[in-house]
Amino acid sequence: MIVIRDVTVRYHRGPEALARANLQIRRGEFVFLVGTSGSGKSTLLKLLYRDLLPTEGRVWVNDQDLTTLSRREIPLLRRQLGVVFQDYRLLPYKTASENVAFALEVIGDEPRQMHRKVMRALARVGLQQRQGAMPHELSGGEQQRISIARALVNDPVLLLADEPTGNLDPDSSLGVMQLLDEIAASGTTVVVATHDRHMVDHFRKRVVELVDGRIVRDEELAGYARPSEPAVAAAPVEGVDLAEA
Amino acid sequence: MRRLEFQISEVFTNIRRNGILSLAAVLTVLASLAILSLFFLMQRNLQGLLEEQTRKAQISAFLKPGLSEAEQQALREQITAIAGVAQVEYVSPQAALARTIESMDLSAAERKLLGPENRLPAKFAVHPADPAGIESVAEQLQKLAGVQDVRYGEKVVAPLNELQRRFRQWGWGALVVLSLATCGIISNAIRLTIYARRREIRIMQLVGATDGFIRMPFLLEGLVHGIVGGLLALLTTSVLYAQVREASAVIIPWLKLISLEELMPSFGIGLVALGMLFGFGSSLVSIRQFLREA
Repeated sequence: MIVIRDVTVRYHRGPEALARANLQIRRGEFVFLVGTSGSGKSTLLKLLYRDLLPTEGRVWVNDQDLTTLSRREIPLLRRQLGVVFQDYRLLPYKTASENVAFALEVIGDEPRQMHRKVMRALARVGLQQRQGAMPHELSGGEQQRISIARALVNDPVLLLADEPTGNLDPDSSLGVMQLLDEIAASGTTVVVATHDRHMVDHFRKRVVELVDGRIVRDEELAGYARPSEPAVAAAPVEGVDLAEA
Repeated sequence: MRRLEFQISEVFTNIRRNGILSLAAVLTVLASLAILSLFFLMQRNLQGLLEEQTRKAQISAFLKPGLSEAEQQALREQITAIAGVAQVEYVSPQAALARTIESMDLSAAERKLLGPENRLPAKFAVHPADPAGIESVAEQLQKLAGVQDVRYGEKVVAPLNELQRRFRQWGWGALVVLSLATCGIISNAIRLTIYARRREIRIMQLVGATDGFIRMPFLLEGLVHGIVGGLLALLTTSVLYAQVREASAVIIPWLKLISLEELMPSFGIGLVALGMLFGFGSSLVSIRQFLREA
């Protein structure tokens, strides 16, 4: 599904944001990219939705070499992907369903088919009843779910999420992460960049850790901390019992 | 078709939603085009004034004394055959004297001072087809056998022609510079509307919109801003120019300013077309640049 081979990224003669990274992700996998701010998580995600070209190395997504993709081919790639951000990136003047439909409008989908797909995506994130709400009428968690619905509406093969729980309270974070887990279980590859230690520890998926642009760990069913580091106790934030969730 | 429908509805939603920025863009087009069109009208009037002065210029071809009527007729035919001659008029010595007296507004006492004898020679008053060709016609007249002397107010006509030629060049040059400046100003106003919607553009890119799809609403918006700005500029210019013309008729009665009706409909169509062109062109340049940098 995803192959990253010997990839180095340098921003304007600065230090390496990513250094000789190698990574393979299989179809349907759920992968956490962890690391501190500036470790290269977002850079790696940007490579996957072709927002960035590597300075060196090659990147393949769904059998397409992104380093040789022309500008005209980028939109076609992005229609196979869904991208979710920490700040939701919803259009404030459109309702929840219009925001979801926007992804279909830009590719000229049929209105009837569009309505069906939007309702299905909203149902998948559990917000069908909030379809007419404006973004400012929704909670942070609901806004993030709408943004996930927009990412899902095209049935993407790959869902990329950059700090999806960064702006959410623990309850909402858990709900969003569970939703992403369900999406991965249905066959969509999910890659989540996060430094939410408690979520990573709770879900125990494959963890790829970055430090200063280098992949220092790639471990299945892992927690946030490296085995040598002391683990953080469960029930991290008041009011949420992750063990029960 | 469905996408175009969506884009057109987005254009009007965006104009409504970004009301103040849209208004700023329209006002920029209005102000820029109004200045441009007033400059154009000023240039046309000055040009017209110069042309009129030059048009008044004529060549006097004085005849040698003692030419018979047949010789005069032959000379007239020779003059008419010269390339660039529009009209030839015979002026007898009596007619020349009468015109002189009339033009100088002489009193009866002053007329007596001229004496009983009319010493003025007969002449052909020759009007060139193109005032700029007056010198060449005069040169050819001088070569004719029956012509004694040629006068055409060379001290006035030559500088007037030169002034007219330069003014035409400078006028167009200034119009081009002003047009480029107008384009720059409108482009900046439109860039602001694009910048205000950078987040939306980013979302469009992320969900797989092509550059063409992203560009289209901005181009249509530019076109709408251009048309509305152009129409308002036409209205503003018409009102302002009518006032100037009215005032000038009272203050400087001899100055005949061109009426806007004379220039219609090409002036109106041209102004709105220019607005459309500037709006569309500026949007195209700005959004292309923005997408290249995004």
